[in-house]
Amino acid sequence: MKLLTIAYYELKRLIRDYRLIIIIISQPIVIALIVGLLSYQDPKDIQIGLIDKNPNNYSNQISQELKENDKFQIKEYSKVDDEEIKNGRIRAFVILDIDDVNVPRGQIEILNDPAGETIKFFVEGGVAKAVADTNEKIEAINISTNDLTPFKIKHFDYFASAMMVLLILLVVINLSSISITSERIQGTFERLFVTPYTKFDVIFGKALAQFGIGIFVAFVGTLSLYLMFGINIGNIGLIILINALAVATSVTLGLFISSITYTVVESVELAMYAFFISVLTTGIIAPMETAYKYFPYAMKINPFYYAVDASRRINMANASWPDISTNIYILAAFLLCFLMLSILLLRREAK
Amino acid sequence: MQKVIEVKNLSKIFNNNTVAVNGISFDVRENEVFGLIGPNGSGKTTIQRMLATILEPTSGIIRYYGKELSETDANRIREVIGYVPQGACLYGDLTVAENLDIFSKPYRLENSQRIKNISNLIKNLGLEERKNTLVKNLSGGLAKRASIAIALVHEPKILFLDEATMGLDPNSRYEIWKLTEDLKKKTTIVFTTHYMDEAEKLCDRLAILSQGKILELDLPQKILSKYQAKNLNEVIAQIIKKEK
Repeated sequence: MKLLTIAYYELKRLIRDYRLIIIIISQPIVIALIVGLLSYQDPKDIQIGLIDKNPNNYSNQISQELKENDKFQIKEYSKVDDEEIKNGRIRAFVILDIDDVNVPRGQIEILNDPAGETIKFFVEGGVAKAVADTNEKIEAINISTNDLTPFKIKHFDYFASAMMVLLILLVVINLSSISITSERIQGTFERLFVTPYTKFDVIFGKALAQFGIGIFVAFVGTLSLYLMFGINIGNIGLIILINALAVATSVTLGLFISSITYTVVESVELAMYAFFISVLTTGIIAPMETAYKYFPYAMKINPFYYAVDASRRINMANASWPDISTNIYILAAFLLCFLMLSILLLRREAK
Repeated sequence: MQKVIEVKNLSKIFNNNTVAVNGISFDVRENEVFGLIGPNGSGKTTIQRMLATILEPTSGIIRYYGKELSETDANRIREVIGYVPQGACLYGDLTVAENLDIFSKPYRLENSQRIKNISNLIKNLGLEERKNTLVKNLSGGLAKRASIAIALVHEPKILFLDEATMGLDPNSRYEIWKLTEDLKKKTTIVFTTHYMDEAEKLCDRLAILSQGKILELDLPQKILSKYQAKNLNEVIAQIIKKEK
């Protein structure tokens, strides 16, 4: 059978590249492991700010119930501090306003971090449970939930902010990850290195061109989301900065992949591998609070975690420079690190 | 004549333990055409790639103009060498002129000189009508001419031609022979080929290689008389027979 001959040699070619086999076989294992570790447990230690407007016996009991719930880590505040939400230190403020009468009545307002969409449900559930455990007659206590944001936000905004960054990563990493390997195959790379072009010239030159294309992709992506779904943008200058850093980090990550791989197939497989790991560990699917206890440290090795987090805070919580400056510095550090690694690990010679 | 290149005990062992070049020594003199010939896998291209700073030798010394080649001053050598690889190795989605532009930019040439060199090469190599054609749309012969033009754009003192005429029709081969003879007046040429007639005609001195070692190194006529052969094909045939 002719088709079996094709199949046989196709398989033989693929499995002859042991590096490719390692990349392919490890993908389902690693990705399954990441998903499992991300949704490992019920949320733990959600950072909650508690404000008791009228401390009394009943409100103290509710506060105590909340503190005893291992889903939460309670920090008491005298008033709502929206800076704590903007910089992500607090996921929600719970404001108790309970009357000191024989039958508890009053209201509890939950002011959520708009960028913490996936944990809202747990905060609401935890507060309702605390009230129920305190007193059976809870009918007179009204619980309301709002997002702490000056914007009118929709459910989609939560995903749109992440998509802004992840669309950039998807397009740019595919482009840059094959740029060196494809040149090695056509022989132009060898030729460039017989001239006085240096590794720095080649990597920087490629990075600059791809950065230009990436910026255009970022502009088109953000504009499309804005025009089609009317998403919130927030501080436009900061969004441009975050998008530019996301583009530059994607380009340099792609070039790093291209520097260390030998074939186009290896480059593409590794780029997609990096893409999926990056998407999963941004917290878009499961919040950090549900992850295995040490896994949040691993999530913070992902540069796009900082880009998505900053993008969400700008888009949804109207964060300003002081709220996201740490994310920007970390992203810039990753960008420099990938750039240096690309230059250092770039081989002049083909294997 | 001045020794332009000196090679001492040069070896290259690849990661899979293949010994491609095995402790060879030779020198190349100014304005000569030095030929590296031998059967497939004899190490011709590997030697050229090491001389052209693409591959790092496993051991041994390469000297250019008496100074040892090292990674730190490789760019000094890259300023004076030109390299024509076996394949065209050009950007297929750029035109001939654009390819010449990208490969001519890193050299220390005045822009006016650079543009003049490009236009002379386009004219002299018969590429005028195709200078704005994408390289992927050129015939093999024209692509090879474009590849040679790129190697010459900075007027190199040393030119490496790796199987420059492979796969070309007789006319194109003849044109490259003519070009090589013209270049010889002011350029040192290291030449590898499978065509023995070409080697006999063009090379001032020849190194015959087999399994990474130099078996003969002399003037073509002296090699022929040593083997009492009519042509180099007979010499190679005798060498292969002896090795078996």
